[in-house]
Amino acid sequence: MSGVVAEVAADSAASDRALMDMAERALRAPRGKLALALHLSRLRPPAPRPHQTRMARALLQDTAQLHSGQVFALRNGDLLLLCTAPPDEQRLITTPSSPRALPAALLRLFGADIPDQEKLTTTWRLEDEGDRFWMFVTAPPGPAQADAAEDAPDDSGDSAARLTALDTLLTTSFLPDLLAQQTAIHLQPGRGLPLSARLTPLFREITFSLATLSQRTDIAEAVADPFLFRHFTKLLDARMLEHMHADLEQSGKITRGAVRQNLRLHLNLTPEGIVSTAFARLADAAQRVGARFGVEVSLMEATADPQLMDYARRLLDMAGFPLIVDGLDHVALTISHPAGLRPALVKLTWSPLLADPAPDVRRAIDAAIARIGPERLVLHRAEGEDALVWGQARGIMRFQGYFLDAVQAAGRIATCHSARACTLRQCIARAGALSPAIRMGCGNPGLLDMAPYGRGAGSQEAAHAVARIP
Amino acid sequence: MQSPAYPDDMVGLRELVQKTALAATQRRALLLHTDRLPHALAKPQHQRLARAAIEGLTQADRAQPFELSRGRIAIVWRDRGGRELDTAMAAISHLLADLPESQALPLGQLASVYDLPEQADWLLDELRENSPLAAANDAGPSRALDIAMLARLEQTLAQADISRFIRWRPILRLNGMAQVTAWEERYVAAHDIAATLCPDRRIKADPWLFRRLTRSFDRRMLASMSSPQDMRDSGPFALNLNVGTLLGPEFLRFDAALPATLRGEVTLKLSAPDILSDPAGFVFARNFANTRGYKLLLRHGSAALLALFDIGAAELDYVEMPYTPTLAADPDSARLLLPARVQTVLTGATSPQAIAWARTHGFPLVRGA
Repeated sequence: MSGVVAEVAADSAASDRALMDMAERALRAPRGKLALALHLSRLRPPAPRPHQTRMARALLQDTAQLHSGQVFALRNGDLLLLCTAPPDEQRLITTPSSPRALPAALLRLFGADIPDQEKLTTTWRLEDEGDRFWMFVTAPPGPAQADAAEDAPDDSGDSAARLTALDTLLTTSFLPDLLAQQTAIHLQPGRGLPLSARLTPLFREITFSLATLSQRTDIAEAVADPFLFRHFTKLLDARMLEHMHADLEQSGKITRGAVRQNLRLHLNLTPEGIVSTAFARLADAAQRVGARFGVEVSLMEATADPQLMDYARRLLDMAGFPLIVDGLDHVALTISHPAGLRPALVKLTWSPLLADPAPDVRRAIDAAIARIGPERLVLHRAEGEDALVWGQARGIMRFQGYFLDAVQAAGRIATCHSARACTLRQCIARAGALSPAIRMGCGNPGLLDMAPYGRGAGSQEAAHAVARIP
Repeated sequence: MQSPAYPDDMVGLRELVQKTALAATQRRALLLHTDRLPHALAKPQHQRLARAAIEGLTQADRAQPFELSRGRIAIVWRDRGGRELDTAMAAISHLLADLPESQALPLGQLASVYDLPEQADWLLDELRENSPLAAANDAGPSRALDIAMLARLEQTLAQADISRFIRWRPILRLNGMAQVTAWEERYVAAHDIAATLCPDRRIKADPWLFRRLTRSFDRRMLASMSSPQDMRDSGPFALNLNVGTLLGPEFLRFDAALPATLRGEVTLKLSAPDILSDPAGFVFARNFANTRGYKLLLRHGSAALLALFDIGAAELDYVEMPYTPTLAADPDSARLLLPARVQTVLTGATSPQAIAWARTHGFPLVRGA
């Protein structure tokens, strides 16, 4: 085998032939040769992310360079290394680039992303396992994997124009058109009762509607880049605070319903927003009219300036606004102490990866939940019933997400006298909007924000209803 | 109310701030940007009200007021000044409450508070950005970095050679009475780049846009080190990086060029908000870095940060902690927050007393400036 490292792309018949040629040559003189397949196609989405493929390829190429090898990218996204495996195993095992040390190194990198860790790599000693290797090479390729978009920044002028347009949109649009709301629920015990009969509204979060924004301008880059996203969030703080203040003092379109239901409204703010005078004005007005607010701060923001956050925390206490920490996914949960901020609630973002982690990750997740206390956790972005099942099994009874939106909408439709022509999807969209233009499609708008939601929707019905939504 | 007569003393303020940094004496400073008062509050009576708002702070322990250019005022005092500071901030908030919505100004833009010596650099940066010299060189008013300028900077930096903006500073290892350079820290002098490329902009005004900009700095710094010749004569060193850069092709090129003698001798410095912006990306990057022999360090460590961020679970090797009187009074308070395997790099330990303290109390790694 050639000592030259050449990585062969897998998007042509020519590269398939190159792989076959190399495999045939290796099998003609198999002694001391080794093949290793890294099955990136078996990783749980969103893996493999572009950087994962890139870095795995770099590791394999490093080994190829040191051991007269070659790396091939297969059509299904897997990587294949063909190289020599020198006999001095003791010496080799000590360097991470040695062929025999590679599986362990790769497992450390990808172990969290694969359900069955034993299936991450396959190694063949060609001397003994040549037949099996040949079967792998000649097997029909799996489904082709589209090349993931490169994650390098877009330095083009177009990017600047898009981001500037978003900047302008956020600072000049009619604010309610950009807003969405979502009601989180507290699931009460009640074996045998329909799911909707066990829901108690917990709070209503006012957010910016990414769906609406994306209809009006290209927000992909701003959403994908956490730093840009925080910049735009900060930009909106002042507008949100001013608008809520004006709503409390004047129309009450957003706040009045929540006051009537004694429901707390959650705003997403940055620590800088909390220490602003606009916040002080809102706090004063809220106290006057008896409106209840909570403030959600992302953990990332809190760690960016812990001293400012400490000051903001004190202002929240003075205003009587509870703090809610959000922005925790299953990994952040295990490397942070959100309880250090003394929050009333902590929002954990649901991911199917929570349900089936590696054993050590599972222990870390369980320990983190115990530290925070399940009674303080809200399972956020609960888009399916699996989130409810997972949460309840851990004592988490507070949920927020599309699945609950659907359960609530099903409950509303079952009791609404004007709902004959309404679809579940329409009811969810209208309840989630603050834009009058979207809500006006409802013939019974008073019911959109009402709770309890009445009878009729069980877990299974809701699951089926959600499944039918395109 | 009569406004107090403060000395016009930018130099005096800079000296005091530098002195607190060198001696690690704890002070707080409030900088009141009366020059940022919007039009509706720009009348002389408003200026007087703004000054009166912070007058109570002059009663704080060892308070020293400073009259700066363009009508700005700074007050430096000892300890936290909790009650006086709260009163002052409330009074300033009250003043701002009269503004029409269109001219709303966040409190933080009118009055900023700095904990010294930890935030001495920030205050000095602020003074530098607004110094009379800088103002004289600026054609227009100092403006915050915005999206459009960020995009232009990123385009300019995409292929730029920023070698002349890269700076080094030593991390010392105290060994008995001897001290040797444990490694050198390599970083990009952001303000110097800004002074060249966008002198009328405050590039740290929006911390998130600045963080985004640092990715361009990272990439260009790595590009300047992407051949083995670039690092041939180098000893152990540390780099400030973002997780996103660590996962990028530029880092792989740097890694491929790293001489074998430096493998295991390079430390990568990350910050907590960056880690939490992509926790899964961080874990992958950390594992990759470990596989390739890099050490990882948490920047800007403090008791407040370590109460939120679990450095042990994140499996980092080092943390930067500022040398402060609180730490000096109770060194175990920092140690209790840290797993045994995490080593502390003491920052801001510039004075002989601080070095002696570090030696005595078992902090063998120190950064002077």
